[in-house]
Amino acid sequence: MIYFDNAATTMLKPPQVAQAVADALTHFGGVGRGVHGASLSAGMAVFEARDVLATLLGAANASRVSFTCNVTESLNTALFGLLKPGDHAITTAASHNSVLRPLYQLRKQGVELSICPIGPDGSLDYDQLEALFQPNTRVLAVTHASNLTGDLYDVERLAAMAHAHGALIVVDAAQTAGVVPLHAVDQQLDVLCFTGHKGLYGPQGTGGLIVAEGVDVAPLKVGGSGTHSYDEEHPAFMPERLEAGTINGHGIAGLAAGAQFILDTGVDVIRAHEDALAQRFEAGIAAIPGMRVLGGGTELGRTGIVAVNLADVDSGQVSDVLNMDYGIATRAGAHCAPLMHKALGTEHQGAVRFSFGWFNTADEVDQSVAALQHIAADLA
Amino acid sequence: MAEKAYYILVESSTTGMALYQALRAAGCVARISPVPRGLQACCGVSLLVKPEHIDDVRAALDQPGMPPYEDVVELENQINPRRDVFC
Repeated sequence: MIYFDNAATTMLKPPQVAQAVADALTHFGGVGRGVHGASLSAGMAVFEARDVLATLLGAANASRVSFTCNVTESLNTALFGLLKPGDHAITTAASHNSVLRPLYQLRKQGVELSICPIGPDGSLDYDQLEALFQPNTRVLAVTHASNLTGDLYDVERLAAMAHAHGALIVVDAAQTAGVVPLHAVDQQLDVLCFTGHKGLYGPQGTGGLIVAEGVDVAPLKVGGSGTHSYDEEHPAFMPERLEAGTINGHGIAGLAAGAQFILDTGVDVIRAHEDALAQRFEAGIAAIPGMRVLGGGTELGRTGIVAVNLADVDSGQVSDVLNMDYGIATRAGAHCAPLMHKALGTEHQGAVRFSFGWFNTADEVDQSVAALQHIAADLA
Repeated sequence: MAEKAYYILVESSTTGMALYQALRAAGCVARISPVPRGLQACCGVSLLVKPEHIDDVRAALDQPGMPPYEDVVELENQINPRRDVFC
């Protein structure tokens, strides 16, 4: 199989990730529960995972990194923990449902919501977005990169904009953590939400959020914390404030191994490799009649995602033929990005998303180009 | 006379891990231990320091950049550490 669905989950991972999980499964006791050797192994591994993620993503310190089971939980935690009835929130049409659906639910609870449109080329009009701020705007929730097109948005500029209006910025870095350089402190990101199983090369069931010092996010869930057992309230300090119940120590051990691999390799090196594959792919398909590449309208470029459509052929059929006849795994459909598809005019056709990762090769790209040429030729 | 031990109290287990690593990096001898419940500490984790190491640890705790701690508490051991452990 040629795996080009890394924007969903990176299937090929550094071998040390699986090894770390296997070691954890046979050596870890409860995380933060007890101080015998097995528990300390787990506790120290999770602490070191916080530390390596703080380094990779630019948190103020390891204590500002709380773990969740995925970026959806991170975003729910951030949005429900910051917004209350009477507040106003802004997002963009590039957002994934992991941002949109919590905001829709909050809207039912009395939170005002504004959604900034996205252009048909994936572009964001920053002036148009700034005009949406109101005196009661509490949160600007944005995606760093569209999960459909890979188009990158300027979160540093958006953070400055939010702060100038007295609001906080919540960033969905599902597609960029480990893939694009990020530094929560330097870029002044109040809450940076990430998932473990994509560009960080961790297992599914891992994720987290980085909360800036001075920003208080109310917990989405409360319960066992391993500390303060006689208090009626969940602990008020980070990172335990946003973690309840035993966290996924086994998975987090793998996540730490993935994040360390990225630090050792270099985010810039990974980005350059994925960019090269994406550009090779785009160049290869450019001459195919009826081929349309979606997005590409932002000045910051894209992640290693290239979403395409072939004439008016249903994206599901193209993806299925790629899979069944050529062994190429892509993602078709709506990609949990309904407003982005509407913006691009692909609400009904969907799109075939190719997403490249560190372990993909130029030869695999060439095979996929040849497959698309073959399919297109048959249509003619 | 019962031997004494010193417990460094911390706010959270995460802080405890950070402090443990920092003390080790500073060449100090300490280990992670349950907090004696009599101390009414918030966190279930503390750092246990033997009397012969406490001066070095106190000096390290005062160094800039060291993770925060709540208190250093001296307690008498209720269980004789020199007892016959072979049963």
